[in-house]
Amino acid sequence: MSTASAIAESESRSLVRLRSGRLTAALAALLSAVLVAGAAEIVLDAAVGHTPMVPAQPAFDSWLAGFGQSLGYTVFLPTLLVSTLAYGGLILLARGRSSPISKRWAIGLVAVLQLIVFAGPVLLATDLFTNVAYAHEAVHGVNPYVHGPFALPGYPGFPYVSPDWINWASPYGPLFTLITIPAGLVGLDAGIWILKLEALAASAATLALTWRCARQRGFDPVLAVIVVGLNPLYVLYALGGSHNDLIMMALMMLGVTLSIAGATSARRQASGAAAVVAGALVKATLGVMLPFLIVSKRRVAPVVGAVLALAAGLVIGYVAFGSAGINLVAGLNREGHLVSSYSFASQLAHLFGKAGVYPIDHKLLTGGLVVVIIYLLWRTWRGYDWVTASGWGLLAIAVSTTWLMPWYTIWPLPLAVISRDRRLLVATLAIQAIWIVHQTSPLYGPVP
Amino acid sequence: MLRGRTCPACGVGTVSGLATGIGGRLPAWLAPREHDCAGRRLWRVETVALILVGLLLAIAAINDVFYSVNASAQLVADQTTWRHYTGRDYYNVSAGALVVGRAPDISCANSSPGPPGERTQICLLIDGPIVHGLRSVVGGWRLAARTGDFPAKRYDCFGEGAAKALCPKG
Repeated sequence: MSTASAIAESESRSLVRLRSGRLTAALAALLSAVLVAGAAEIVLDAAVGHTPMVPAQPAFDSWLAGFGQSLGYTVFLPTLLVSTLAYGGLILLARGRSSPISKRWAIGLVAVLQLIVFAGPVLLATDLFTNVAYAHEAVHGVNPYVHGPFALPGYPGFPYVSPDWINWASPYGPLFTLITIPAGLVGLDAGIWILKLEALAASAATLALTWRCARQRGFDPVLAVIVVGLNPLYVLYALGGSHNDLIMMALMMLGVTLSIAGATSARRQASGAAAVVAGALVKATLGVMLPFLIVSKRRVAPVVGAVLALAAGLVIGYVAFGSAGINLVAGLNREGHLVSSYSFASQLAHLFGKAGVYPIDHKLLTGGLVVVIIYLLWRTWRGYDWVTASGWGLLAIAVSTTWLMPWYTIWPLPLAVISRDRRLLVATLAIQAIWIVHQTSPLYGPVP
Repeated sequence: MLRGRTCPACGVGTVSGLATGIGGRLPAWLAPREHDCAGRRLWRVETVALILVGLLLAIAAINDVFYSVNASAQLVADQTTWRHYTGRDYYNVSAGALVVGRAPDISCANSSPGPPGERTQICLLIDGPIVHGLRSVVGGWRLAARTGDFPAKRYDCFGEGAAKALCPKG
């Protein structure tokens, strides 16, 4: 009798588990469908034409036009919100031991989302067109580190470069400009596709390296790739705008992969540091990672690797673009004095009754950032994980900069998913959530 | 998470390379370690600091959302007030602050149909709370077509515009 009852109880438990498993699988399928539908809606609507969410651009993807309606705030922001909720739901489902999301499912979903956004128009920023213009400058003998796109006579992409940047010399590192040169050798449409392809390849590399690092560090690689690859700010903003942050992040993860994999190999340690320097030669922000790597390893190899890579980069940059091309700090300094309404600094200024950010606020924020970096270096010297410390450093830069762009908040994400200090992941996602809530304010008021 | 109790053997690490020799000369709190041996207390202090920063940022963001919603409501009310006051149901009515952060606000639009700014402008100074979707008109002026709102281009000032001598030419 007791055996029969035990069997019945066991069967009942299995049935409940099976039902629960089917339910979570159905929920995961639903949330995945929501993400794909959201991305498709945004891309098809964006293909209709120029709106505040979609910069003016040549009709390089005209085959998508005619399926949607013009993309405005009233569609984009609710879609962003719903996609964010679906993303959060998928993370929660993927966390458990009985995650319904298989390796194949996760990779397939990430690939589909990335390809949808890749196929569509440039979203939410004009940076890609400015970068194509810099590439044309480099090819046509105009130094992009001295002159803005305005100096390029007869350039057909001129109408698509934001008036704000038309006179700005390139703020990016020489390695990025050299990578983009193929876009300057071809026509405008082909140039746009080349930079979109570079961003897609960089995203794929970032995700593949994140997968590898997660596995090496004993984390679930499926969860890691879901957190990074399905992130709405990563997909819609960074990849949607084909930003060079993705190239910087790919080199960042290459540096981490080499350093983690070759803990005892001097050559790998040197290569890891060199990869980080290469990332800083794309976008100088990544330079913050280097001191953490060196302080953590306490070996000569990473220093040698970094110095050799920097020397090589500076020589190539100097030969290609002269002294202006190797002034890595100049671009950061110029951008550092700008203020975006997206920035937390602006929001804090409003909270404290100020009309905006003043020069004294810039100094306070820079001072605060320096204190945070010094503290993190001390913690790393005392054994704290350098990958996590680098993530905190990048997050601190994103939070403290007065020129915050939405895709800056994704910088620490690949590091957060391979960190044993889960506070970094929580903090990064919380910052993104706060930013998204702030963005949705047009939904709550009357439309002028 | 790496916390004090779970971390591997603590103490000044037998670190190699650059740190060799340095560790012995440094005070204990500055000596290099191979593993993170920060105690629970430091972990708690850091976590509390992070939560406080997060709360501050969240409050600032929500404050901004409220500010933005109120500003939108005021903008719509100013445009409606302009249309109501002038009896002209034009779409392109500008609205904003005359001086940032100070009342009154200003709202301008064409006095006759035409592209924005291409006709003589009627500008109204608007102040006070929103009542039934409208705010109070406390003054204003006319502005020459195809010019910015510079004092030299204003005329026919009335109300606060005249009282505060905002039209130098009268």
